[in-house]
Amino acid sequence: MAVADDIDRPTMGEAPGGGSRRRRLHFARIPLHVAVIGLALLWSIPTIALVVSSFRTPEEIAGSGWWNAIKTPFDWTLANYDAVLSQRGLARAFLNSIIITAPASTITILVAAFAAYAFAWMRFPGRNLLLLVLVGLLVVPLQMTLIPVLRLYVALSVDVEVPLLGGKLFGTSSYPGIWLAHGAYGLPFAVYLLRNFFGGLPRDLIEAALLDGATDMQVFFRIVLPLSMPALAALAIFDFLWTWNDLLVALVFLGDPNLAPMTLRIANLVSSFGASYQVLTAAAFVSMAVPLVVFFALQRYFVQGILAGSVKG
Amino acid sequence: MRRGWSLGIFTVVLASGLVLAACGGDDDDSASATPTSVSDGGEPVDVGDVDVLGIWGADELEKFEAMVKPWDDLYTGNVAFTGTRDITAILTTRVEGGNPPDIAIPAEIGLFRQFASEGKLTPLSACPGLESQVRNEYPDSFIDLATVDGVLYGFFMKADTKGTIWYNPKVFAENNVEPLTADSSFDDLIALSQTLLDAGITPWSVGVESGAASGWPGSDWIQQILLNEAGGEVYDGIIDGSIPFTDEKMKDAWEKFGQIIHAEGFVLGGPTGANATGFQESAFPPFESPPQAAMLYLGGFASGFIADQFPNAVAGEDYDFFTFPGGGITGAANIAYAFNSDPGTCSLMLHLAKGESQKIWVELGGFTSVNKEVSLDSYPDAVTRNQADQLVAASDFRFDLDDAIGGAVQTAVFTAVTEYISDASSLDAILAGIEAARQ
Amino acid sequence: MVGRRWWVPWLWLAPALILVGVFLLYPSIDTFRRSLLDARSQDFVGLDNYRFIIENPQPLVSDTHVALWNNFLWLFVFTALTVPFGLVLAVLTGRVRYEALAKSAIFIPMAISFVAAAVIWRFMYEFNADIGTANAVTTQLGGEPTAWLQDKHSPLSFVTDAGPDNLPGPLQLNNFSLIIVGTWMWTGFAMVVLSAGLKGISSEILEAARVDGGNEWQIFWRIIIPILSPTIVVVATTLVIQALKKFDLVWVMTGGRFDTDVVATLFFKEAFVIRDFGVGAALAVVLLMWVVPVMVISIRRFQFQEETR
Repeated sequence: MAVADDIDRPTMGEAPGGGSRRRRLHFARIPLHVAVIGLALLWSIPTIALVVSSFRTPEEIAGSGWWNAIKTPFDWTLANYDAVLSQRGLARAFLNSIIITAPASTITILVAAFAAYAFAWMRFPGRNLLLLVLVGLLVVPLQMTLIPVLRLYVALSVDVEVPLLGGKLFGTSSYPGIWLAHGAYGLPFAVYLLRNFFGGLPRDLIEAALLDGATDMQVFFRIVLPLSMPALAALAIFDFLWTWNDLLVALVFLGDPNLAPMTLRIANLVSSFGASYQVLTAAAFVSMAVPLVVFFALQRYFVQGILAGSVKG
Repeated sequence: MRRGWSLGIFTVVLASGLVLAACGGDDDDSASATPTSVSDGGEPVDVGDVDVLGIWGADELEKFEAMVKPWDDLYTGNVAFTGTRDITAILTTRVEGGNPPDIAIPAEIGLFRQFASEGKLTPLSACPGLESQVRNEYPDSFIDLATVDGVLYGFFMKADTKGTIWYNPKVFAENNVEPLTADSSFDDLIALSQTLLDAGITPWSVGVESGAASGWPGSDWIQQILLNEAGGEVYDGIIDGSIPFTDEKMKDAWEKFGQIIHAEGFVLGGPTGANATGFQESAFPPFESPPQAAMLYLGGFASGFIADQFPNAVAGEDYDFFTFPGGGITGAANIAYAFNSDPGTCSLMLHLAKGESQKIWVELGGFTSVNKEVSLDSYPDAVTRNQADQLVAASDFRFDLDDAIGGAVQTAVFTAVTEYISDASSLDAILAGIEAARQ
Repeated sequence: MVGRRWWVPWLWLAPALILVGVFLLYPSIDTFRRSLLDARSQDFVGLDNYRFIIENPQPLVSDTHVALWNNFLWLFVFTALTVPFGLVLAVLTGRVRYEALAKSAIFIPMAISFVAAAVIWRFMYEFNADIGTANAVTTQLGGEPTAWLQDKHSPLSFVTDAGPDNLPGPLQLNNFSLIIVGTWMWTGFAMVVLSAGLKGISSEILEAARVDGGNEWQIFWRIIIPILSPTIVVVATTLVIQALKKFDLVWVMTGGRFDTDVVATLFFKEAFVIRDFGVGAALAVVLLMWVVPVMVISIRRFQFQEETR
């Protein structure tokens, strides 16, 4: 199914038409740019503060505001980044973060997609109540779930060493254990989001396909998923992000520091008194790199108007 | 399929990650049971890895690892240390969930007491030689603190005296002011503050902000005053509950604290500033150039902040401390305790308790040991040496008061401090509130 | 509808139901059980823990009323700020060529972990006007430095001397300071999700409307918003739930102190600092109950959506 590519859509903001009309609209775009750039800058002020601070020494940070760094003859330092990147075990921790996050997010997205399709397009008894419970569990505070689940993991521990990855086969200090945990924690939001998007797809399209003899699997993979790319991309961005930035679940379920993700290494940059927190400014950017890459990579799926030929109403 | 493509990305990244890891990325403390070198003859003894949960990060972590290295050389196991500032929550969760660490080294003893009384800890006697070593090498007061229901469960590492008032010697010299001594009185401290204020410099830098525990520096003030003004028995009475927080003597201690914090011009930024300034940041003004304040009351660990922030500062010349007037010393320490008596756990506990191991960290700075075997000469400079001396030689030593009680009362005390700082008139209600939390 | 065998839907649902059942539902039931037990989860105490929450006998230790009221404030203000911002930004950024760049500027706050966000905003809200951005600005404008995260007075008293010093309950300056940080972070979320929804609007409709002579305002209000309303409801609901369970942000910035406590931070304090699992569990149950009306409303919207599609 051909999907429109990311072009500067002439459909938004500019209409085809006479010369005078185009010129009028061209001027009308200036306030748009002012608004967008202005808001983006406003939002970025704290971020810029963080960037600037990451290049300053602790004495400077404690002594003067970050805006001074731009004034004074560039007294910048790479010491903070050095402290972060030269940390022993950082490369392994980075790998661990990927090992933890990628499968966990995949589980969430897949499982949620299947469930959302069922909620959106199949009928079965108790559908609404089940949805209510499933999504209602969004509010459950994470800390509350840790003790019971930990008990379960201790009981179900399989003390077999996994060859390449490390850690046990299942239970505490095991990657499969944390994959399932993260996979589960992301489900309520994922199901909620996808249910909404799947449900918004044109009924005729799906019904027609089913009547034509297509199986649910075929409808799911050939119609529903491709049409929901923006939603799936949005979900992937956030689920990846939240799992990537998690520290608590890793601390509780992955007791072994060799399996720990980057968040733990970064937390260890700060002493027990919270001293050396200026290193956190650099650490924030090092850690943010991957989620940003994911964000940019998935941006291309934010594509307009795939529903060519169908009418919404 | 677009979606298949994204999945493809994940798989490729994952696979390359695995390949890299397999090719042996970092050779830090990975994989268990890797024989390490042995210092002098003999094979390393075969024990499993030891899972240690503590609070240390940054350079503290490095120093801890230096301290552990000799153990590492003698045993095949590795020390898997996890440091987190949320240790109370993590430890509680893991213990309740049935997956405790082998050894825990937190910063407060409330949890320790609770675990011990619930039978979750392994007494020191379960490890051969450990109890006798601790009893030999540690002062009685610290042994008593680690004893619950008559059984010794832990030992203290990394202690901190809270009897240190930090000051800028240069500021004092310029204004012809002498630091106080243990024989001075609290009134002398007030007079000293007034003198400095009259000379044109703000006497105190105070910062009590500390996230959820905001207010604890204030409670340090109050308990130190209480110990010196009312004596050790009253102090102990407050802890065990026989004396209520509403008692006259306790109220007096709070009011004395008020004489500092509420006095016009005594504190940098006034009471609002005190509540809004983080405790680490409050350590800087007296030592900046030019100094913004003259004195700072914070525990021994403050020397670490000061040295970090001002790398050119010379201990003893640019920063020093004098003893809190009165002579009684309060302090706190990290306690180490074990959840099992595996060979690895026992051997590590034994190693950490030894004077010669603690000496390693002492020499690296930032560690005050209460082990009697650690001689004062091991300390890197006069300031740290005097701190250790103060702690060990104190005739009237008491553990941090709110730490000793813990739980709801400790939370109440911290909140009470910030409330009192912003509103002096509410003291009676506040004290009643703290006492009410004692259940 | 179509001849499916009865067990087919359940097959599709099974993985989700199992995972959620084990990791979320079972702990919730366990928590409910603990809420009826004492602090160490040993003895049955009936509704004592709930009575504690209602009566608030120890405000110095944990002020339950403050926490509940603060959650209300978060619920309304946080959502009311974040959704419109997200919507406006989604629409505006969708129309410029540097869309990805603009979006990422708004998205970055979400990508930064809470710890890092706390570090930045510490610099923003720092009391010392030499370091703190907000206070630097206010002192430049002639005012006094303010303790943004500790000040319990009403925001009005900050702006004008005439206003009342203390407004009722949660209307404190420091609450608003925190909510601003929350909005700063979560607008990116709202924007991304709403943007995904926007892309689903058929371009033909927008085309037709423009050709028919509609200006951008009208198109926004009469076409975009109605079509987007299910997504808006999803975003708003998620944000409301986020407001209810707000923990990380408040915990890292103030620890719930100076009357900024919310139910989630109070739950944490009770369970892990004060170590009263009974009260902690009861607070968590209160949170769970609170979300029920929210979910009912949004499920109703799903039904409406179904009927009209």
